[in-house]
Amino acid sequence: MYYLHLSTAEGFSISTLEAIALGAYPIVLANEYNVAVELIKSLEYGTAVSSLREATEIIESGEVPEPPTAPLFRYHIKSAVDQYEEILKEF
Amino acid sequence: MRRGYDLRYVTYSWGPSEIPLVGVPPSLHDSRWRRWLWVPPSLHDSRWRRWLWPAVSFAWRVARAVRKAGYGVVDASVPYTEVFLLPREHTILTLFEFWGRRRREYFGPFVGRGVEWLERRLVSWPRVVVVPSNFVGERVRRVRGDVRVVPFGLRLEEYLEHRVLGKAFDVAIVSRLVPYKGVLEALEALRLVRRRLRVAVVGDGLLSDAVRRLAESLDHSASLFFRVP
Repeated sequence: MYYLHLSTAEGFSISTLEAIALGAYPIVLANEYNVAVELIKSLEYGTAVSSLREATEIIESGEVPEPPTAPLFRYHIKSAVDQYEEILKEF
Repeated sequence: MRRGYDLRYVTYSWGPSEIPLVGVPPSLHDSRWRRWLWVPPSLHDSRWRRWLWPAVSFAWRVARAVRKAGYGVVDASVPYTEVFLLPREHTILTLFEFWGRRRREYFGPFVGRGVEWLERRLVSWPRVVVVPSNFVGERVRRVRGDVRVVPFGLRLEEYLEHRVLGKAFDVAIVSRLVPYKGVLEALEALRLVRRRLRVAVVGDGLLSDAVRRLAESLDHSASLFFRVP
C-alpha cells in the first residue's frame, strides 16, 4: 500500500510515521516546509516527489519495497519519553 | 508508561476522560447549546484557519488553572498562546512547527506579520524549547540556540502487529482537508494512474465536498472517511 502525502507544510508528520509503521510506502512532497521529507530520509524508506507525474509513476509501478522495522525503533515512544525525561531532570 | 510522576493534562473538557484531566471550560466564543450538548468548540473559521480568539481565551484559562494548581513543570503546546502567561522558569514549550514568513500566507500579510513576530517571541520566552525534527530545530535556532530535538514516538508494537493483516487499500490519504495539505493534488495524481486502485481518504475540513466530488470522478474505487469515530 502507498501513503500519498502531498502536504506543503508539516512540522513532523506523525501520519507518515504511522503509515510506515503499518507497512505503507510513503510518497511525500519535496518541499522546504515539509518535514516528512526528513522522516523518510532518516528511515531510508519512501520517496519525495517534485511533481504529480513522479507520484503517479511510483504508484503505477505497483512495487512496494519491504518496510523497515529496526530503524523505526528510533521513533519508539520509549525513546521519546527517555529523552524528554532527561529534560525534566534539569528542573 | 508510568514513571512515577504526578501528571495532569490541562485542556478543554467536554466529556468524561480516562486520563487525569484538569478541564478548561469551552471558550466564551462558543454558543451555550454547544456547552450543554458537550459538543467540542469550533476552532476554525469558514476558511478552516484557526481562530485567534479561542486561542487567547484558552491561554488565559490554562494559565489560571496552572497558577491554582502550582505545578513544578508545565509543558505547553498547541495553540501555544498560553506560553506567554505561564511562569517562565517552569515552562517547556513543545513546538511542532515554526513557520516564520509563511505565517503571512496563512493569516494574510498584515495579521501574518504580527503572528510571525509573536512566533519569535514565543520561542524566546520559556526555559526550554523542544521540537520534533531537526528541520524545525534549525529554524528555531535562528532565534535561540539551545533548542532540543525530541522526535515523536509511537507504541510501535501495536502498529507492527497490524502489518500482517491484509491491506484493504492500494493508496491511503490521511489529512485535514485544507488547501495546503495537498489532498486535491493527490487525487489528481491518482487520476493519471491507469490501473484501477482502491483508494481511502481520511480527514475532515473545508474541502470535504470538493474531495468527495473529485474522488467520485476518478476511475478508482474510493472510500471516504470524513468523520473518524
